[in-house]
Amino acid sequence: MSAELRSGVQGAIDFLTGPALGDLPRGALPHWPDYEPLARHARDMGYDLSPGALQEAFRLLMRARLLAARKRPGVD
Amino acid sequence: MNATPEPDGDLSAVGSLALLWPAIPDGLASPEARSRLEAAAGRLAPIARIALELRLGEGQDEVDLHQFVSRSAADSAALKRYLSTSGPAARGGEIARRFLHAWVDDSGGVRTDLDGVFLEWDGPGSGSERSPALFLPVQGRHDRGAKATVRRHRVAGHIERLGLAGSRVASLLNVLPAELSISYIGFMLGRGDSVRVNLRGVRPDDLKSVLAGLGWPGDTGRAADLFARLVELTGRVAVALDFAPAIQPTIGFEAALPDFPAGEPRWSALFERLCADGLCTKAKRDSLLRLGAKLYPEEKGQVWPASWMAAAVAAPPSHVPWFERRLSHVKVSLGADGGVGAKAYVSAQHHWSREGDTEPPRRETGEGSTIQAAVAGAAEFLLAERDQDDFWRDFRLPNGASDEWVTAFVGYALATSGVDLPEDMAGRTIRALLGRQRPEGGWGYNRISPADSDSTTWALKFLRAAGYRGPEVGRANAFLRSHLLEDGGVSTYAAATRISFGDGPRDDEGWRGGHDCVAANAAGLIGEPVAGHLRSSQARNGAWTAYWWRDDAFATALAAEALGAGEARARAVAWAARRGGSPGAAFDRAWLIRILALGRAAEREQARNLALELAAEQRSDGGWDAGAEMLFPDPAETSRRPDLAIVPDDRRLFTAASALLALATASDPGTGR
Repeated sequence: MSAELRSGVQGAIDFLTGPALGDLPRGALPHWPDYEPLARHARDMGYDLSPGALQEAFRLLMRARLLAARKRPGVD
Repeated sequence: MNATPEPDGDLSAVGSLALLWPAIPDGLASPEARSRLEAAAGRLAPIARIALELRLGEGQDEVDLHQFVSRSAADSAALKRYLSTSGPAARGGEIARRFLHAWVDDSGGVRTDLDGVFLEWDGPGSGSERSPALFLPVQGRHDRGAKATVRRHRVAGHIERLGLAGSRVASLLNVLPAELSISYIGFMLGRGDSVRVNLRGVRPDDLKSVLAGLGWPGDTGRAADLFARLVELTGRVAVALDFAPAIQPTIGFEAALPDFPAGEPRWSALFERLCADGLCTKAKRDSLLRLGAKLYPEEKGQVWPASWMAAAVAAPPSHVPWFERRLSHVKVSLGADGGVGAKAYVSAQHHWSREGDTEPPRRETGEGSTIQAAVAGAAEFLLAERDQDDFWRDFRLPNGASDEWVTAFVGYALATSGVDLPEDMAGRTIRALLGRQRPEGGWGYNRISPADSDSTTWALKFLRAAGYRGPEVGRANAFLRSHLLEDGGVSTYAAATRISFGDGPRDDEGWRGGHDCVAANAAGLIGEPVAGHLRSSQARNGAWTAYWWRDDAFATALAAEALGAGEARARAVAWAARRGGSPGAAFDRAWLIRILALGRAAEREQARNLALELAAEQRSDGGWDAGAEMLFPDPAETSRRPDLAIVPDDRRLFTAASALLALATASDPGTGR
């Protein structure tokens, strides 16, 4: 994977949707909007992600889910 | 957005605090209290549905913590993991721990029987942690008669079996009169053997006798006055009574409103009163009125707890979480010594689904008596939904819920349904409405809205159906006629009516223009020239075009009924017959039934078939899915626009009352009013 794909918002989407999150033990992440520990975990996995990129990637993922759901018949 | 079960993922309650704190200033919860709450929330089962109990008086910053555990499989799984890893119960917490184990295992069907359980910690994190109180739901609003008795018996069985309070609770539940609806029963496991019972639906006139009957040692007259004020302000107030085993000196009144303060002006009125009585500081009032919000992670700039983010990503893609913080209810406590205090309850909840509440299941009725059973069920539903100040409330507009207009309409439906109603139903509704009649003679959407012709027409129709002939009727008729226009039409608001908009004067020509849905209603009382106007304004397809409704069935039914037999009515019946087989909301189909019942044998047969379908769609609580699609046009709009947002009858009363009117008509073989 190229460096571009392991950084920025696209890199954050790849990281969040890949298997890396499954390696985190329960309770490893803060219950606050603090994405630095997640960014550190990403670095351990070879990504270069800022907390802002993670936040934006999460927003886009949830937005995509919502749009996909609304395309299904019977969902407003 | 999906009907699949909630994902099984740990969601720390600390995340709820993280999204709640930005709306809670230090005056409501001090930095020290926040730290204690965060520590306590971190020790809870990972279920992110919590509430804070905040004192409203000056200098009071104690905060209690609540958590709601639903009956969902996801909550049970989270709770099971928590119980298996959290070590032994704190001192005195064995009973609560035993209950939670039984809940997880659904031992004795406790989780099957109950919708959920509330856990409440007083002063959490203070170092002297006590066992939580447990609150269990007992009766639903619509559980009456034998159903209520069965519910009380089953809940008492769980309580006794799980050792929450021994056998005395069963006798307590039996002592409380059957006509009182018990919403919750609570066990203050950290406060000796105290048991709390929350009663819903107590009418202000009845509180004195309820308290006296239970031996409350305080001033029952003062309690009744305080309670009546709260009921007048909010409509629904629960009564919280503690027993240990005799009734305890402090009683509570819990007032809840269904929307954020921005959309429900009664919140402001309630807090004004609390401030005037010295029970709430203005700073706390201002903070509480502002804190409501729905937070969506797909919106730009929205932060989300990191652990929740991981849970959301791991959840099936059909789930998109959201979070709501809101003012839930206010409790005013009165001691037998006369001391009064107030608290607010603020909820902070993570949700997995964008869907609304699940509708109750379909009603099960026997063949052959379907329509009659549905009529009786609809009447029961409406009677149970009446607020304690004898008003029915429905719809949500920027100026709050409607009470005067909705009460007049529901009252009319009940009064003309042919159902045997409680003896005092009509009298109480008459008194409630007459108490709101404006000096100019009319009624309005609600207390803060100006009087209008449509609300006044429904009030007059109800008063006539109830047999009331007092002098108020003449003044109301005169007010209604002041809305007559030169062409025989009827405006909703008269030229002389002052309409206040929050943002200053606006062009309101549209609201003051002629509206055929309003004329159709008024024609039943006024006759000519409104009837003549309707004959000339009927559309070529046979319908009348509504201004305030998305669909024309309601307006067309009212016009056809008002006009009597003739060509216009026949064209309306033909229009309804063409539409009869089409799908549509229950509300619209109810009014199609009313139109078809005006026709000949074939159309009356069609009406009966549609009525059978409508009856089969009735929910177990006696209502139907919300289907009355009101519009809220810009005041300047003179005609209906197709792209307007719909305002549904969120409490389903307008649809149920319409279905009641339709089914009562269809059940009468000699119909053809």
